[in-house]
Parts: sequence; structure tokens; C-alpha cells
Amino acid sequence: MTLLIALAFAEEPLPASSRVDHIVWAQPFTLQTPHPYRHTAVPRDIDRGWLVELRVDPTAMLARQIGVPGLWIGDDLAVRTNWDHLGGCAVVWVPGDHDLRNEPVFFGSTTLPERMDAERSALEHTAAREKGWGPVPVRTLETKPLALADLRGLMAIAADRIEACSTADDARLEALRAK
Amino acid sequence: MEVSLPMVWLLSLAILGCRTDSRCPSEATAVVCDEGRAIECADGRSVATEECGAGDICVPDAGCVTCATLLPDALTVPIDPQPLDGAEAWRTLGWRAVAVEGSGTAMLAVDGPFEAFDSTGALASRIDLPGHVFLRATAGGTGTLSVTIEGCGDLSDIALTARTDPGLTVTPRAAGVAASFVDAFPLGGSVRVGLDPVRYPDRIGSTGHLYVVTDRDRDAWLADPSLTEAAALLPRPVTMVDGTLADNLFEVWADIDPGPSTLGAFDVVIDWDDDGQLGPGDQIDGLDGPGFVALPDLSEPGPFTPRIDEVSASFFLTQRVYWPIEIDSFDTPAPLVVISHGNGHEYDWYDFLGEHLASWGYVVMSHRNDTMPGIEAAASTTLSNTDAFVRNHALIDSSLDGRIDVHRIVWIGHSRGGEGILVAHDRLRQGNAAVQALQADDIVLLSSIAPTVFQDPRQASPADVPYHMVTGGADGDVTGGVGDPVFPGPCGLCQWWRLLQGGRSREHVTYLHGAIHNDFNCCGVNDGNAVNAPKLGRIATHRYVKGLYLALLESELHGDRALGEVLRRMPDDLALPLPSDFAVATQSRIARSGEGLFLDDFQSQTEDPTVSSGGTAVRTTATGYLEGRLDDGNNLFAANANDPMNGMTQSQNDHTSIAARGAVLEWDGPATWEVDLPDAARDVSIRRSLSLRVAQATRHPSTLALGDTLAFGIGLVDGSGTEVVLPTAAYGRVTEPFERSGLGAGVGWGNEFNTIRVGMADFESLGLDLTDVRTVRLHFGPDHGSPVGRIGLDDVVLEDR
Repeated sequence: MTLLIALAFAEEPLPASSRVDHIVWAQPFTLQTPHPYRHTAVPRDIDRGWLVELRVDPTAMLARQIGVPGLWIGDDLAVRTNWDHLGGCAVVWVPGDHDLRNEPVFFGSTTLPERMDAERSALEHTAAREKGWGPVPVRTLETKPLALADLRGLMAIAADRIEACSTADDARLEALRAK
Repeated sequence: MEVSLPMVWLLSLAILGCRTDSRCPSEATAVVCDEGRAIECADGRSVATEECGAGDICVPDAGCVTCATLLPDALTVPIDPQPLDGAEAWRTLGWRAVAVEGSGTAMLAVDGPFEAFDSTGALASRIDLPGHVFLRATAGGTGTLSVTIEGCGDLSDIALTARTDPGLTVTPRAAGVAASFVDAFPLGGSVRVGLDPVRYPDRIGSTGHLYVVTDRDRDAWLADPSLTEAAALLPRPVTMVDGTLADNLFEVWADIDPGPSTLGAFDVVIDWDDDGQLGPGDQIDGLDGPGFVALPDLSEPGPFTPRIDEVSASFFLTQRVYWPIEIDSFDTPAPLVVISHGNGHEYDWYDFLGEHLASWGYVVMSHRNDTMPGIEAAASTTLSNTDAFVRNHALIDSSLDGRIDVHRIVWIGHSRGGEGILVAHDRLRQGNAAVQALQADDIVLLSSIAPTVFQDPRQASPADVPYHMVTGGADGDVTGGVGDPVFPGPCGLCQWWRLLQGGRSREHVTYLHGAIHNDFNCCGVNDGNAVNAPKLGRIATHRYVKGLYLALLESELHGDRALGEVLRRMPDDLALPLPSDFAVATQSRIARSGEGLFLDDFQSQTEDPTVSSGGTAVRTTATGYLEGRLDDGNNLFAANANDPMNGMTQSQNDHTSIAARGAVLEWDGPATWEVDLPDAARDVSIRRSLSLRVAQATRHPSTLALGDTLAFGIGLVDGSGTEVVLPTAAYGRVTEPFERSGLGAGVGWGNEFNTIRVGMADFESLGLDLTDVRTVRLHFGPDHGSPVGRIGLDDVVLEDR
């Protein structure tokens, strides 16, 4: 297995740390209109998930086209809503139900999310475990789901979180709040 | 025309005296004909009668005319290979006319690549006299026109020579090239007319007046051939003198300024018979489309008022729409331009481009793009947003209903979006797109801004759609380099130019020195911080890009030849606004859809460097000549004697079927590279231009020794051994590699190709026989330009367009 992992990351060794410090806040949500989740090789429509604010290594938050590491929350790749490369505020959402206090949270490889199949996912999680990456501290965990019409409602709430925590995302707030 | 005035007139006058004659018109002076006699009339009386002699005929108003002098000995006939759509009278105005005097009927016989027409534009084997025969050539070559008139017998044949008609307006060139025929003139430039005595020897000694007329279309010219000069541009007399094109240049407009917000379009006419009308025998540049265009600053707003609307049906069906509020007054529906942003970008970051294009009459829709998952997701969003807009745009505003041409759609994508549009079009072609109202043929132009290359370029390919790419030399994200600054190792997905090779249609490439990745939007992060190179800046980039896209769209969507020159001519020759300390390298590959003959594109016959891809002989005296993949051999740009393709980023590990290939060579003294033409292609008189792509080799000792832009000579050799060599410096400079460091020792980024294009007329005006060209020969060394250099060479093409 170690050999397989080494081959998988031959061109891109994982960094020394998970680059995730802690979860600042998280709240579950539901969507009246399902939304396609494409951060996987097998896209699916989702109607629930978690909106999560984290503190992370700012270098992992640089808005780029290439070399963008995927942020794992449990078995799912999170969907970024902002790019705070200065302060390291990350507001993301993940589909489905998650036990955020007990699931691993880490930045993985730069493989495009839509190419992330079960085999690659397993390799990344195995590599993370071998590095000792696991759950991260959680400051605030809301339990009451946000009942939203569609993803635009979620993005409006995300925009409020971003505006409060991020130092590098002013130019995208208007678009995130578009109705 | 010789008209005899013999003494018999005087004798007749003395014997017969003046008397009323029913053959004479009343109250007019004229010469009328009657059974071989010429009768001079005044106020209804015959005042003299002449018996025309043997071999003469009587011509009304001219009298007795010697048949042998009715027609010219030789004529140059313009090549017009466009198919005919029945009788098209308007086209006769652009053909060569022969006036045939006399009465009755003239029988016509023509051979060679020529056709004869009557004044209705119908193919003709006879015309009524007096009248005109109109001639066109459908290919290069020579032939004869024979005219038979009753009473004259067979007249002497007219020798015909077919020539391309490059128009009348020229831009002067540096020493070694008199001038080049062009259609576009920049603000503040000078419009000249060039009459080429080599091309039109039969007009030497002719005099006329030169008119600059506000552009009329062909129907308008046919309906109203009167010559009314444009304001402040008075007609000026011209005489074609013996000599060269350089001896026959006439300035018609100095320091041009068409005024703001307008493309100043004009036609040029030489009224050779000075009758104040465009008629047979005159010359026109601009019969169908403008003769020339005086370009304003294309980055300035156009004449229309942009309006912006936001629409959203779901998170990834969210759009910002820019459109001209005057759209309901347009004669034809406006094309649709779709913008697909890149990763970490937003759909509302392209106001500068959307508003600009809307002010020039385009409808622009910029949509939210799902780029984070990757290119497939981005492609899906481009498709779904375009499809939704096509179906629902009337809901935005009723005045848009029916006013958008949804079958002329342009996709512009930035970064991941720039690759996504190619994948989206591939899906349309393959029938794999989940759309309701969109067909592959509806996408008429694709344009990528600094695109990624995650997918195989066989899939992310422009295929048969005209394609454009603009990238920046200081890009700190998709760098265009062989490696990534953050992650070590090869970076195939950074090498944008790989996407070009799968194209089979026209391709235009713009490489802006100093532009970073996010200079192409309003608000992206400064990705140039870690780039050690001069920066152009967002303001200058936006200014350039606005003009670039206007030229691209007008050229590709409206067929505007003049604005197409902004893409085809080298930037030194026709520039968009750019700070003087920054350069731009451009490529314009216009023959990829079959509109030309590739003498050598290095894609085949790869085993033998002495054989071109066209199967003809290649010879060179240059050093280090090598054909191969345009693929840097390692992950560094540092000079490396073991890496002859150092700096090439056109083909990283690409499948053999589309791998870009080319050649490299160098010199430090006189040297040549030459390729022969196929026997069957030696007549290049129907071709428009010769082009080739050249790049300086980054960080190579020869490039460093030159330390400047690069120049050499381009020669054509005809069957008589005559060679005309034109200096590339007269057309523009081969750019010096952008002064960016990184990826190994030294300074200089990837090898940037420049298209050098020389008009065939430029060779012909210096005496080359275009009907029998044997060899294209490149001359390097101090006598022809740069004393030292190393280049990449590709795509030596004879172009038709």
C-alpha cells in the first residue's frame, strides 16, 4: 500500500501538515431544490449538507487554476465559496450528513475534484492517516438546519460569513449574493 | 484612336455646300454614320462627308476609324475567382472593360483563364456596338481576346495577363519594399494610393482623377455611380508614370482621424475617363465592402449605449447581460458573445469587456461558471447557460426578442473557462451535450484567455471552428512555462499553446508581454507578485484587449477585412494601443482550413530533413538545422546544448496525431533555408501572401548575442532565376523572448512564434514573375538583417485569403 501511495503522489508529495487549524463554525442546511454536487467522479444531486467556516493555511486558499488542493471533510471534498489567501478563512460546504467532531479534515492532492473516484479517494485518506491527520478542533457547531430554497440562499449566508472573516474576498461578495 | 480628317472633307464641303440633312440631329454638332460614310453635322445640316477607306469603319461621333487601332494591344485583367450567381451587373464595375466602337455586333472569343461578359454581367460571346466587353480572370495565366466586327474582319487579338487585384490603398514600407496594399489605416496615419506599372503596364501614361468616397455597397454603386468626394478630400489628378510602384504613390489623406466611435469606411476610385462617374475602364477599391477603413482607437466605446441586466434561475444559471439599448433599430440581429470565467473568478468581473462590446453592437452574456470541480463541469455550465439564454433571452427585455442571432455565438473563456469552452464544443460536435436549443454550428468562434490544458488536446480542441487565444507573458498562474512555480516537475497543463495544434480552421494568437493572469478580469488576485518580469498592468491590458476583441469579432463575424488586418499584420505594422516598452507577439494562421498551400509545416516527411511536408526539396546552409516536436526536453528554460527544442511549449507529450512539429536553426554569418514549390503550384499569381512562423530561441547564446528583435530576408525565385528578397523588418519584428526569469538560469520565457506575412503583390511590384515561382528562400545574416540568431521555424504557407 505504501508503494501505491508513493506512486499516486509521485509528482506531488503531500505537504507536511494537513494545513487545517480548526473549524470555527458549522451549521447543517437543507435545500428545497436539490443541487448537483460535482466534486466527485460520480456527480449526484444533494438536498442537505453542512456550511462550514474553517481557519486554514492561507497558502491553500490562493485562487488558482492549477495546483489547487482539495479540502476533505470526511469522505467528501468540500466546495469552496471563497479564496482568502491572506487570512486563511475558508467558508465551504459539504454534501450530506457529517460528524464534524470525529471526521478527518485535511487538504489533499491537487487532482481535479471531478476526477476523484473511490480509488483515488481511498489513497488520499490512507496517506492522511499515515501522516496522522484526523479530526480538527471545532469551536461552534450549530445543530438546527438552515432551511433554504436553493443554493443561492446558502451562498447568501456564506457571503455574510465571508464578509465577517475574510480579508481577500470583497470583490466576490456581490456575485455570491446575486438572486 | 486614330481618326482621319482627310482633305476629302474640305473638297466635299466646297462642292456640296451646307444643306439640311435628315440623317443629322437638329440643333447639335455630331458625326453620324451612313453606309460607310462619316457625315459631319451642325444644326441639322451636313457640313462634310467622308468615305471611310478600306479597313476603316465609321464610328458615330468619331468618324472614320482604322479598325486595327480600335483595341489595345495588351491588358491586365484582375483575377476574380469568386463563383457567379447569374448575371451580376455590379461585378462588371470591378472587372477590366474594353470599349469597342463601331456599329452592329462584335463577336468575342477568349481563351486562357479568362471570361468575357456584357454590361449586364452575363457571360457573352457577342455584344452590340458600340459597347464594352468586361473581362475577368478566374486564375493566373495569359490568354487572348479576339474581337470580330463586320466591316473590320478579325481585329488584332488583345493579349491578356491575369493579375490579382490587391486594391489601391497602400502603406509605405522601409527601404527594399515600395509599399504594401492594405485596407486598414490607424488613427493619425496616412492613406496613400499606389498604382503599380508592373501590374498595369497598359495604363502607363494614363491620367485621371482620384476620388475618396464614403463607402457604398455594391448595389448603391450600381444605382448611383456618381463620384462625390468625402468631405475635405478633394479629387486629385493622377498620372501613372513608367517605373515602379514607388514612383506612383499618391497621398490622399494625411493624419487621418475618422472621429470617435466610428469605423471610417471609404471607397477609392480612379476616374480614368474623367466623366465624374464610376464606369467601364475606371478602377475601384471597395466595390463590395470598404476600400479602406480609417481605424479609430478601438479600445474607445462605440456608438451604442450599453445596458446591464442580471438574471438568475439557479446558482449556476446566473448571468450578467450587456446589450445595446438601440438594438431594436439594428438592421440585422446582433451576435451573441458568451464569457465563461475561470477558477476563483466571478461572472461579474468582465464589465470592461461586456460594456465595450455592447457599445459596438454586440450582446454579451457572462455567466457563473462551475470551474472548481474541473473542466468537464465548466463545460457543462457554459452549455447550460448558453442554452438557457438562447431559449429565454426575450424574458430579460422584450426588445431582445428576435434581435439576437442565436446562430452566431462566440464563446470566450478565461483560464479553466478557456479550456471549458473547447470541451463544451467538443460535446456539441459529438452529440453529448445536454442542451435543447443549441447546435455545434451555432458556435462560430472560440476564444481562450490564458487557458489551462487539463484535458487531452484532442478533446480540448477548436477543431473546425475559428479560434483565438490571448495569453500574458507574466502570468503567475497558468504560466505558459514548462514548470509550475509552486509545484516542481513538468507542467503540461500550463502550456497553453498546446491547444492550438488540434485546430483545423483559422487561428489567431496574441501574446502580451507583461500581462498577468488576472489582468484579464477586473478583480482577481495579483498573481504576478512572484513573477520576476516587467508587468503591463490591468489598465493597459484592458485597453489592449478591448480593441483586440472588437477587431476579432468584426473580422470573424462580419467579414471585415480591414479589422482582420489588426490580427494578420504584425503589431509593428498595425498596432493596438500598448505602452512602448512592452511588446506583443502575434500569430495568424489563416490557411488551416484549406485556404492555402503549406509548403512545409513539418508535420509529415519527418524522417528526412531535406524533404518538406509537401514532398519538395529543402536545402539549408544554416547551423544546427533540426526538425522535431516543438517540445522542450526538460522542465527548464535554461540554455542547454542537449535540448535543441529548449523553450518550445507547443507540444508537451501530446499524441502523435496532433503533436506540433517544427524546425530550429541558427547562424552567425550568411545562411539560407529554402524550400521548392511543387511543380503544379508554381503559378502563385492567385495567391494573396506568403507567411511563416518564427520564434527566437529563448536564452540561447545566439539569441543573447543578438539581444534584440530579429530580422532576415524572404526571397522568392522565379523560373528565370530572378529573385526578389524582401526584408522582414519592413513588416515587423520577430519579438525578443519576454524578459522573465525562473525555471533555470537566465532570462527569457517560452519561445513565442510570430507570423510574418508578405503580400504577393509586394514581390510582383519588384519584377517577380508570379506565374512561375520555383523556390521560397530565407536569407539570414548581416546582409539581410540580424547578424546572428537562432530561431524556431514553422508553417511556410502560400495563402489564398
